[in-house]
Amino acid sequence: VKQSAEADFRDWVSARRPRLRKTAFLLCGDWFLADDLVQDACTRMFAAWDRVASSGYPDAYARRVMVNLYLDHRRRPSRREEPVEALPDSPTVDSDDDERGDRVVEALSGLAPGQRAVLVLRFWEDLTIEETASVLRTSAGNVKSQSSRGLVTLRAALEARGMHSVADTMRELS
Amino acid sequence: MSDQQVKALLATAVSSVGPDRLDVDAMVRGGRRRHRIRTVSTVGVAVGAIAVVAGVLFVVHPGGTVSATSPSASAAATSPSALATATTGEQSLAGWSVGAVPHGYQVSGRDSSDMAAVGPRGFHNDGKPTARDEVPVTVSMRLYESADYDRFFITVLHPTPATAGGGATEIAAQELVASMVAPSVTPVTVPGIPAGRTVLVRDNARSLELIVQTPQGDVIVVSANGPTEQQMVDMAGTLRTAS
Repeated sequence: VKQSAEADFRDWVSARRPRLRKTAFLLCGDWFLADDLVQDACTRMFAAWDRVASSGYPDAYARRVMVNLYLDHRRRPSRREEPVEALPDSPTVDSDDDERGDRVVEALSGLAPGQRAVLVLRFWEDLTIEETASVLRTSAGNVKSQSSRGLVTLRAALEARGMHSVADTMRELS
Repeated sequence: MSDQQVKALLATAVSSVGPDRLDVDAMVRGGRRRHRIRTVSTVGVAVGAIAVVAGVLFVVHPGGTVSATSPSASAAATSPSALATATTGEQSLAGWSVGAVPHGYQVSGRDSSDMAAVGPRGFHNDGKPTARDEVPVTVSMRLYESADYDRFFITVLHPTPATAGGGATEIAAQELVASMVAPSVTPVTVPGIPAGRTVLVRDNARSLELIVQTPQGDVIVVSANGPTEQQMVDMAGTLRTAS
């Protein structure tokens, strides 16, 4: 990889870094793992940066690599998270927003990995159904059904965590 | 609720951002190393393709049975043409020879091997002792990756002989796979799989699982995403057609 390409890559990472981290966090719900996903994804992208950059869609590559890494991570038994009845004590909650955010993350953790990926790509990354299907290498119909089921599951999870008003308004979407 | 409101809901989950641990220098170093390895591997595969094909993933026998081939044994390649490619020199995975992978795919990283237990409470590898009603299994995994970041796993689940106080020495494929494919989410309905048969299931995420119950008692799961799916379908079709 040439020096000019390296500079280009560094610029791209610098610009996308906050967004990539947030997307990865929404996928996995853990900042340490999110950074691992981004680190690994960017490393793979730099290995093929000439091709990635020339495609004109490095962001799309980044999404695909991160989603693949996340789904593969979930697939590996040695790394799989085990559901627990009660969460351990969390660090001090600074505000209502933080507490609300924690509950949303908990609710997301109840989604199937594929449904979670669909919701993050559709609603956080603002991708269309067709674009989401392209990232996931699946059909638009599958994205629609996963999105619908994911919203139903998320709504139930939010209700279970006392976020009834949010859950109520989500009925319209799912 | 509009799409924007769902987005706002997700935004609350990232309103408090964790410490940034990214290391761009490490990305560049790792990327250069990976680029070199890919280049060397590509040359190696090209050379290997000229040499003798050492084996195939599964040798299809009349009646639809499948069996392992020794890594050292030579065998006629009976895999679908879409999959046929030489991977001479690869290590066996838990005693199974992998001789055919889709074009453009290479082994990524090292194989992993873990001990786990499967029983009425599902699949766990949390280090807890195997219970009386559980079967200890060795889980060996290999990851293949294409230049376009599509990937597939080959997982060999090998039930080990019962330990003292342990339970059965055999375990059904559907029990293993159902517990492995989707823990803690919607269970996957996996049909009973007679020894030597192959089934293809789609999990509730997006990927296919090609499941092979071997006569030896091992269960082999090939999991993939991306364009590999169709190749897996072709492969399963070939295995079924042979029965």
